[in-house]
Amino acid sequence: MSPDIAFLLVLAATLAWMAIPFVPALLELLRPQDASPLNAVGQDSGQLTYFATSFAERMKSEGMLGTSVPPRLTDGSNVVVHNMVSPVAASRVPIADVVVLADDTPLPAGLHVLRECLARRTFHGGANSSYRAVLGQRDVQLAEGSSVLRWIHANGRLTAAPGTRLLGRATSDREILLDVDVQFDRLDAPMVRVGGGGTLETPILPVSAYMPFVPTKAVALAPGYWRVEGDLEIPPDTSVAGSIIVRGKVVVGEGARVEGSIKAHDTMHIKSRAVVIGALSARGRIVIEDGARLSGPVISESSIIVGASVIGVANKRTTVTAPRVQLRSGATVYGAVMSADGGETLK
Amino acid sequence: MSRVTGRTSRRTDVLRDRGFRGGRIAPHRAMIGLEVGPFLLIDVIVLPLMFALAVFILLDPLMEGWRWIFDVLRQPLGLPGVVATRVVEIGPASVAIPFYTASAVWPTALDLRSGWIVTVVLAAAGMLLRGRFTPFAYFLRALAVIQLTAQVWFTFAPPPFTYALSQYMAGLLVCGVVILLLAPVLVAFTYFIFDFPLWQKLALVIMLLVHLALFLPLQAVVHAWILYRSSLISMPILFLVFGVLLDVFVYVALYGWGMSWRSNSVLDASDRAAPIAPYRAPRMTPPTSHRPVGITPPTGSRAL
Amino acid sequence: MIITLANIGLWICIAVLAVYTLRHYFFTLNRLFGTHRQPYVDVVQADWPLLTVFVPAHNEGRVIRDSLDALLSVDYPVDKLRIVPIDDRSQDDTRPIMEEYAELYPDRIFPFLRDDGIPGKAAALAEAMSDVEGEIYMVFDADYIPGPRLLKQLTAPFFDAEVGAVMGRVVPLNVNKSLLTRLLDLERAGGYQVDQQARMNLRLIPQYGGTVGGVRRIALEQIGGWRIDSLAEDTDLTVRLVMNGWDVVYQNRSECYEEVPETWDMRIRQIKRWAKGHNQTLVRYVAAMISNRRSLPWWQVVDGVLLLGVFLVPLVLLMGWICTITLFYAGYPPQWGRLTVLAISSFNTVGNFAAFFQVATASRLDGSRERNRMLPFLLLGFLVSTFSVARASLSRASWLRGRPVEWQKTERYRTTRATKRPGTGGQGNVS
Repeated sequence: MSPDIAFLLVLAATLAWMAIPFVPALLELLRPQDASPLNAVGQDSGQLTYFATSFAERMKSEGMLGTSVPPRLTDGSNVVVHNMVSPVAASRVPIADVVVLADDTPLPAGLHVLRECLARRTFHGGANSSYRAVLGQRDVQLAEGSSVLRWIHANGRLTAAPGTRLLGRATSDREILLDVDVQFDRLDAPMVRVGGGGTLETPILPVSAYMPFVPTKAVALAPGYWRVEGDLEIPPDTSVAGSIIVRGKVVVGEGARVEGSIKAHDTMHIKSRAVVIGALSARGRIVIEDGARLSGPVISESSIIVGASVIGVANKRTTVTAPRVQLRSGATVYGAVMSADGGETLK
Repeated sequence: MSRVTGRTSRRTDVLRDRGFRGGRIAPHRAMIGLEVGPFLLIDVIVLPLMFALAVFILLDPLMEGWRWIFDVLRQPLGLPGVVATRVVEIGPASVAIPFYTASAVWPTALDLRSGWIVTVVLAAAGMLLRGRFTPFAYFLRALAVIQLTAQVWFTFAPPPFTYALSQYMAGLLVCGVVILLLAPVLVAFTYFIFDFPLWQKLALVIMLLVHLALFLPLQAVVHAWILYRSSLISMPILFLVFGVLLDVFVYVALYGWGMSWRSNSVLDASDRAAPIAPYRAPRMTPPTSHRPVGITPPTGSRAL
Repeated sequence: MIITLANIGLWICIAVLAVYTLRHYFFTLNRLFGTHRQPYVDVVQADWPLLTVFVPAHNEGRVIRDSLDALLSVDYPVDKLRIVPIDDRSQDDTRPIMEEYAELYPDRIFPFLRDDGIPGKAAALAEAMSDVEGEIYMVFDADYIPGPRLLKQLTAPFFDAEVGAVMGRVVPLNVNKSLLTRLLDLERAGGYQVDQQARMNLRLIPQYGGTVGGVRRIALEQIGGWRIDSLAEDTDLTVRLVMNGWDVVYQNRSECYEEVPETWDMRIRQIKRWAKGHNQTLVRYVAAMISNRRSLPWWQVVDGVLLLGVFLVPLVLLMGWICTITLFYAGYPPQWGRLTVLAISSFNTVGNFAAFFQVATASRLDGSRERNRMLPFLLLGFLVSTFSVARASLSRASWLRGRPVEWQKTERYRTTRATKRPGTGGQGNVS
């Protein structure tokens, strides 16, 4: 064999060996397996009722909302009907079927439903039960120790007894009433309230009822827009017109009024009877004492503690959002409460 | 929304991110991430150290293997001389690097002329290729520029050249040995940090090491033959383009393949389906009743 | 002397490349394991502010309809939304299309038509914005197709009084058209999914990209408005906002489709424009940024300088290779370490200098692991970009105080119009 031929063989072998790791790349180039754009539509983002709405539409198309309920869905899933005549029996064995509640008959305690529940009338859940998802066409009442894994929606009122865990999304077209010791992730309703009692709604007085306050050490960025180096305490019963960025802690004194948004690089403390008509945002914790009134949104990168105060107004829903949110008894939020790492209701 | 957290003993927490068919529901891609698990440090520190140690231990047999390859191929390739070794200190180890004692000559006039022709052809091809061959055009232009430097150097500089073939070959292989030792570390920092099963991590490293263990000597043989036959004029382009860069190229290819493997954890949750057809907004239908109006030009533009 | 210079030069190049590589490795680790900062993404209910969406257009007849249709379909209070498409002397049917939509939706679409004035996107925006009231200005390029929820998502951060600008994630729509589009898809993924989000997590400087994003009117006025003589008005805006104490926020969740260049020629033009613009911004602000360190945290200053210098990195890499060649001929071949760093640095993307591992990480996070097989082809893209950026960086436009800039846009390829909304698929179906 001539050296030239030998070299060509060695070169061919070297190139072949070198090419082996490139085979997947070449195959992907010539026969793409993954060359479609990402799904950037975001159909459900921002709409917490998306799954409930989708489920409702599906149930309608499957004929689950008619006078008779088919025994099976088109995907082969079994359907169990719960009513006074044939109630679902109490069982420790998880139910892997879709449950349709045809009337107001309460469910037994200790159930574990691995699929969705559709309540044609008022949903009365049993204690210490868990459901994957619940759609209530009227009111939904969750008993003590209940868990909802993915979502729950009530066309009427949603009430949760102590010990309830509302994981995922909990929404209502009317209101959500939470007892104490309820855990939640994301809530959205025209009104979310904790505890049975009412909430004092501090009246919003006219500006003339307050002493005007202009933050010292403030740099004006624009008319009614300031930046403050360090901490800021707005004295009680004073009013501030404008938005403020505070590179420190913020305390809004008792009975003070702020017409503008506030941003704090540290913590924020809204004292009782304070009124803020604007958004609140803080890198640290936000504490809202009893009697405060805020228009919202309220945003914290740490945690939010809401006392017996009112956030939002009935016709202008807002959002309270933080990794951790505590709603104390009497807290009222008109709108959404979003807690990525888990929220809870306390006394 | 928080990323998927570690499991608790509560059954509900186990079930909360399971689809109703048992598949795993993952957070949105904008929110998803990984947890720092107890094995991360082991994977990133202990495993690469083990592999590096293994390579160290296997260096002698590996060099013997390379020497054998050189021996077997020397005569068929017509390379004169023998296969010698040079002991090189690489870290704490003394490594007997094999190399050919054949020498590459200073380019003759014919070599220079051939080189010029190659340079011109590369440049011309680089200028003529267009469209979807643009990257290859740039690559050829880069080759042309590098070869041009060689042409200029060997035209005007006096002999001898700083590097002999044997020295070059040994240097190339020393580079290769160091890459072999560091490859597990590179893989550890770029691949082991992910949640792949252990066997996949081990497989990637082993494939890389095995591939390089055979590729490096073959690469050196090819370089040696080209240098011997075409003279030293080929050395710059071989060293700069077809040396370490190729080794890294191989690593990136294997790495890309490895990163395409399924991991059966949160990043490959069952519902992370392949991307779908893109969103198209619905075609807007005009309102049924509207009053026809002209456009009111805002200030700052001329009225139509 | 030459050897010493080449040696020093090579060490400097290696140091710069190492800094950027380590920076991006750190970003990758942070994106994978760090705490994600997306504090505004859950604001779903609010008294939404008055929003004006600008769609600057110059010869965008092929794509503008899709953009306007999408904007008309968004979920945002109709009485709080104004859509202002800006036509700047288009020669195609862009203007008739805008007029048509304005006639059909007179209370929602308000075209701004330019027949004179300084040409260019920045000048067009400056003129249009000076004429429009509103709290928040959003900008979408004419080829972008915002989803229904996007405007609310991008507006939500402005409830934070300190936020001056918001940027969403750009997702290539025409991924499968060519090798180039696939490489650019990888580049975008690395740049947004990992790089931008990491900078957001670490309170560094996410970059406002001039589209799929918005700016607060007060902030814009306070910093002096748009710079009409900048090729990278978005980078310019980012830097001025940050130096004046405003936050720039990146929202990874807020995604919008775009069209990436489908031919290498277009890509080269685009990357050269970016390089010149970026380098202009570097020249203008790097000294001010460094001397501004009293009002900016030091890590933001460092990140800002690295951000401004990102389009110099290909030049640095080329210099590194030149030094290597010089040392080689001089008889001092660089050691394996420096060569390896140079070699590894050749597998990056330009624009953010995302290393190959950053790109691969992004694809995995996206759930598109299989496109990682394309990683070796990054070398081709980087080769083209490196030489193009180097040429641009050596041009006068990169360094001189600019004159007003003509329209510089990416050619459009879309040939099919919007059709019905597809099935939801993916996450939307899972409960």
